[in-house]
Amino acid sequence: MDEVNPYKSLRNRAIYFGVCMALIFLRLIPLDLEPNKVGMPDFILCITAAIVIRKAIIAPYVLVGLVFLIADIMLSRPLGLGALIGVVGIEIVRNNRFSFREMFFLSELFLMAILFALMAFAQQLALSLVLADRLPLHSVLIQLVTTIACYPIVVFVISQMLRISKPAPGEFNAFGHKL
Amino acid sequence: MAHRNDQSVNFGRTLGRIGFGLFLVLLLAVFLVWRIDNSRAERFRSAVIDKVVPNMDWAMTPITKATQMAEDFQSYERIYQQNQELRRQLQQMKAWREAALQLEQENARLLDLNNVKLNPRRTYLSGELITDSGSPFRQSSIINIGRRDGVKEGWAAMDGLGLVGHIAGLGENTARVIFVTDTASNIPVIIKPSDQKAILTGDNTLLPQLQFIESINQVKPGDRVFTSGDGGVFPSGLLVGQVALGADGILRTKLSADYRRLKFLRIIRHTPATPIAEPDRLIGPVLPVPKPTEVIPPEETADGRG
Repeated sequence: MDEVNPYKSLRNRAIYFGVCMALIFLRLIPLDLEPNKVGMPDFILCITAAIVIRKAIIAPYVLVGLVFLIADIMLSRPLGLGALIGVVGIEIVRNNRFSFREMFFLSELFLMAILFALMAFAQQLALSLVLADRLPLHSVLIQLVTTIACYPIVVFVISQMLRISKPAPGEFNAFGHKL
Repeated sequence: MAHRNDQSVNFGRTLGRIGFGLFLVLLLAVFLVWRIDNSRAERFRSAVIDKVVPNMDWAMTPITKATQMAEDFQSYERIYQQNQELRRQLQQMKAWREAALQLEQENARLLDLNNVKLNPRRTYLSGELITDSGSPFRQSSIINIGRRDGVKEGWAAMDGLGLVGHIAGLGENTARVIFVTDTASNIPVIIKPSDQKAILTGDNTLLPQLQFIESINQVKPGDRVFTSGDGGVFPSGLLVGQVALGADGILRTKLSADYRRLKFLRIIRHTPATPIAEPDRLIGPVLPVPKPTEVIPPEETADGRG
């Protein structure tokens, strides 16, 4: 019932933003400068997708775009591309969130895997369209696999520990809007 | 809000869609600007990092230190084996040190006999690594010295022993070091003792590839790799590593720099030597440049000489 209490949704958005910034910050810590074989999963994408399905109001598209843009700047990625693809991908999830809520978790995971793969493909496609250096394919694939593997963990933390769970089908808020 | 009729809800939804479209166009514009005016976009990025990263130091240092302490603690478990191994290595090193000293003396004598002038000693700046690149696709790092300390684009970065990377991206107080393991790193190298030239190309592994070797037959695993200084951007003669033959038959370089323990970097000051374009520049001091107005009638020249 976030829409009832604007302060609560504002607070949740601030928490989401803070968690994403902390994740970027953790990635920047120089612990291991060797080129590691196992790429880090894209936790920010996982968290955002999982939250948008469960409580879309926490992550409006402007905030999502801002988070991805900051990640682009700080993590030396092509500026704006990650944000563009991230916002479009998350918006696809947002528009279909009611169907996502009705399905079992395995189907949700399967569809997410397809979506993440399409987003990675779109990024490679965009980079080659503008004749920029593409990212090395095996690193992209490894990151894709680790990201998909992390999605269930992220969903578990969000739904069980933070208790942001899917609204039951047919649940309405105080104004009678469909959640 | 609760009493909006359907029409205003629709109107709001349309406005929202337009806003969303504009937002996407904005992000696309950012991407295109990054592609078209890349140097300016990268300068913007280093300016942002320059502002943000030094301020995060207070939070970053404790975490880094704690992790390092945990790793050190783990290494206590095998302290006995390490001790034995180090003793063995030390014994070998003593023999090598003796050999090196003798060679150094011999070398000095020979250089003296030949009257050889070597390059003046290189000077360097020391910087501390602050951050990782944060991306599995990019092998780079931020150090805590920048334009204010006189760092220039393209200067080489080394740890105590071997080449680590080069400066690409300067902020006022920070600079980005692209490692030789990065896919964007191409460095001209020379392989001793066969003096074969090659290009060292990073491929996101700890063993960068050696490409464009003139004659591969003369290169053996174990040969030493140095920077060649070709192209004038990089100083020559910096140790890079040893040639290694990969399982896939590609010649690679085992880097001398220890990427696991990188903490401080030496940034080698380097001003490229002035290129020798004309033959008279080869020997002796720079001759006075003949003035274009020196076309003088012959009789006046004779007067001047007399």
